[in-house]
Amino acid sequence: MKDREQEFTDYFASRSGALRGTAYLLCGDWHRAEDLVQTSFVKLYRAWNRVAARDTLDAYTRQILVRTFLDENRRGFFFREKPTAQHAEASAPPAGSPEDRLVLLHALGSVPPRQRAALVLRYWEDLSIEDTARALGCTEGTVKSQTARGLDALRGVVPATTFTN
Amino acid sequence: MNEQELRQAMRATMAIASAPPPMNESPVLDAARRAERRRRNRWAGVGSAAAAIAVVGIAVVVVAATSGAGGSGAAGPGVATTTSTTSGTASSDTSNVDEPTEPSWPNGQTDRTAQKGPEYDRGVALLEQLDAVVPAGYEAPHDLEGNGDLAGAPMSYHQAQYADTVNGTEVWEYLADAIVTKDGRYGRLLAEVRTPGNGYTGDGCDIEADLWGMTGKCTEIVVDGKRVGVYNWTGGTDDQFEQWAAYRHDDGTVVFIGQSAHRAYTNFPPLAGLPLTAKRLAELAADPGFKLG
Repeated sequence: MKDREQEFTDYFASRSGALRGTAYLLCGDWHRAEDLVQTSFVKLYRAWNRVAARDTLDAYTRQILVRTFLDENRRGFFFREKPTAQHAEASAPPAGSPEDRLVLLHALGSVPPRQRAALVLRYWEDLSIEDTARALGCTEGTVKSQTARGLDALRGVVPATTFTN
Repeated sequence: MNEQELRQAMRATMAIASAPPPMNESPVLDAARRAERRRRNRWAGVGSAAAAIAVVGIAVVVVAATSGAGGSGAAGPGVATTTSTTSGTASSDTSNVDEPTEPSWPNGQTDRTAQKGPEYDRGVALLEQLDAVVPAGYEAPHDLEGNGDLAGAPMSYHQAQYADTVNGTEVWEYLADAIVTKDGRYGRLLAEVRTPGNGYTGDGCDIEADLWGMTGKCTEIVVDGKRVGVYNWTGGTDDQFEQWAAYRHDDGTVVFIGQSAHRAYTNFPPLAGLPLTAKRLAELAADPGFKLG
């Protein structure tokens, strides 16, 4: 049987990349995404021996990641970049930019964090409403309303034809 | 944009995103081990069995309060374990050059936030100061919990955060956040103080005092000869405050006073208007009482 550290290391190697992608969509910045992933894995390490069901590990780790992200946002400036520095989320795409990547990241950055998390979990992670609710720690009804409001907010900032081709 | 278009856009975005190299597990493992060692050391420091039992009780309550349904252990305010793969704003631990990216915290803190001591007390004092300037006709309840996105979260909040050490001097950021209510409607007041070394220069609108990623159109108001920048929100990554004032004291301390007629991320009905006038906001930013000595 593998020891705890080897199991943890293997799990990190297999999942950190995907989690970093999710974190990137949540925060729009690779450095912060890596910070989020690292913080999440530190928390996971602490609970590693208690997580008996390895088949639920992904959901568990994703839940830590999302809640860490929301927690940081809820605490306002304390865990954000210094305001004197340009935050990646604040980087509006140049007018007429063909880079949909920037358009989407900018649009996501304009959506309140909890709505953003619901959108990323539902449409990037392809989680069900039930699983999204579990990850966010809210009701399924809240997930529905959050995703609806988030989509509506995106519609307000993304040109209608941007992603229709 | 509909659901399917968003799904496709996310995949297209990630397909062309220039991701950095894969993360190395070593810093994460090291950080995790250190966090666990610190936790064990704290436990080892508990002297008597009775004291240990009491601490276990507290810990269980904290974990229960912060874990949520799945018991993730995701930390709430004041119990976070913060690590960083980049230098961030925390100073590196110069006593351990092999781990230059590990932040170090002053006064035995385990993260940025002071949980006790004089810095913590200044956070408390800042909230008291903010309470004291709530305009007549408004209340600032301390026991109100949030709803909506902030369900269960305290709507009155203070925090003292270590930001950096500059030229041997610790830079601290204090925040007081108060919900204000009138006639069953809710808004928000904020006080934020950044001690010298904060990097801000200039006076009035020259401070360029964006707040929390929000940008605003600045108008200067002179208060007893002091130039105060008053910003009206125009955009940025956040919209939690509609108006804020910023004043830089002679010693470099910068004070922000913000206000909003709504409480972001909640479902509370908004106030009919901002609780303070722009002039009053400027007066408060320049008020020595918010400078925290």
